[in-house]
Amino acid sequence: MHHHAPTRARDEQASCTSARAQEDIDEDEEDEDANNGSDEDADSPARLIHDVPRYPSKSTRSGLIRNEGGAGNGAMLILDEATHPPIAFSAGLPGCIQLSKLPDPRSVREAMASPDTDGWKDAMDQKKANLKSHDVYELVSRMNGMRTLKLSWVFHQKFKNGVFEKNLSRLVARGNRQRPGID
Amino acid sequence: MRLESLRTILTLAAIRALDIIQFDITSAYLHGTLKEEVYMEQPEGYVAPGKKNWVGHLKKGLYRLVQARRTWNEELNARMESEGITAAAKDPAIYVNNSWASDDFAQQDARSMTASR
Repeated sequence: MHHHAPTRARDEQASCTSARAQEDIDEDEEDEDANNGSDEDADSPARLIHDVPRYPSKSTRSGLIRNEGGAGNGAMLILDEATHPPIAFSAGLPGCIQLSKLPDPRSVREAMASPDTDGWKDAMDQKKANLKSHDVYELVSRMNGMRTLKLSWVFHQKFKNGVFEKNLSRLVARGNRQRPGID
Repeated sequence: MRLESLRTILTLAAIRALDIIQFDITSAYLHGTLKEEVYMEQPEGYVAPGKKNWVGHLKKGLYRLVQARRTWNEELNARMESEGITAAAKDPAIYVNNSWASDDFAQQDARSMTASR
């Protein structure tokens, strides 16, 4: 035992050192990659473009990454057209890869003022038809003291595998304004 | 659904070489029928012409409506039970088709079906 113990200790030490050495190598490789990335300019298939048109963004409710920077801070990655589908700059066109996008409109007014008014209109019409087909509500004349829920439209650009698919909208209740026992 | 439940199901499926089908129930909340009397304003952009002052009597759930989640779950549960599919005691997000499953889970034709949300 006495004879073996030091050997094992040395072995452990050796393996530790080699592990650390391996790490150092990995780090070096990463550094190199980073350098390569920034060195490629003219020949790079991908380059960054600034000054993407921008319209108001604040809400992060839908959990999407948004461009919160000041005017003109939007950055969009442009790929080589020969090898990749065209890029949609604005609201997105079906079949276009869009790595960055305009923020989703936060209200009907914003949707109607956005570059893709028709797309959002269609999305709302579709949702309305969907509500109708599910018989979600029925019109009745307002009576005195009747409490009505406030509603809002939520807009959302749907992407599939990084490719713009369609505009979606959803009618939601302002549940935060409901009061227990009343609504 | 609990993550453990999902793992268990995937494991069972793997052991028995069962197929797994994944699906999404579209506009799920619109399927749940409300029991409460709830009225809503007319949706912006879709106010019925000549009925500006009318309101909507809400019959189904809407997203963000406080009771929509429960309403939807009750709907799902009722529908499942009418098919003889019941929620598992340990995790109500797991539904088991009793006509397929046997008491002895080790039996070859034991299958389970799940629905989440």
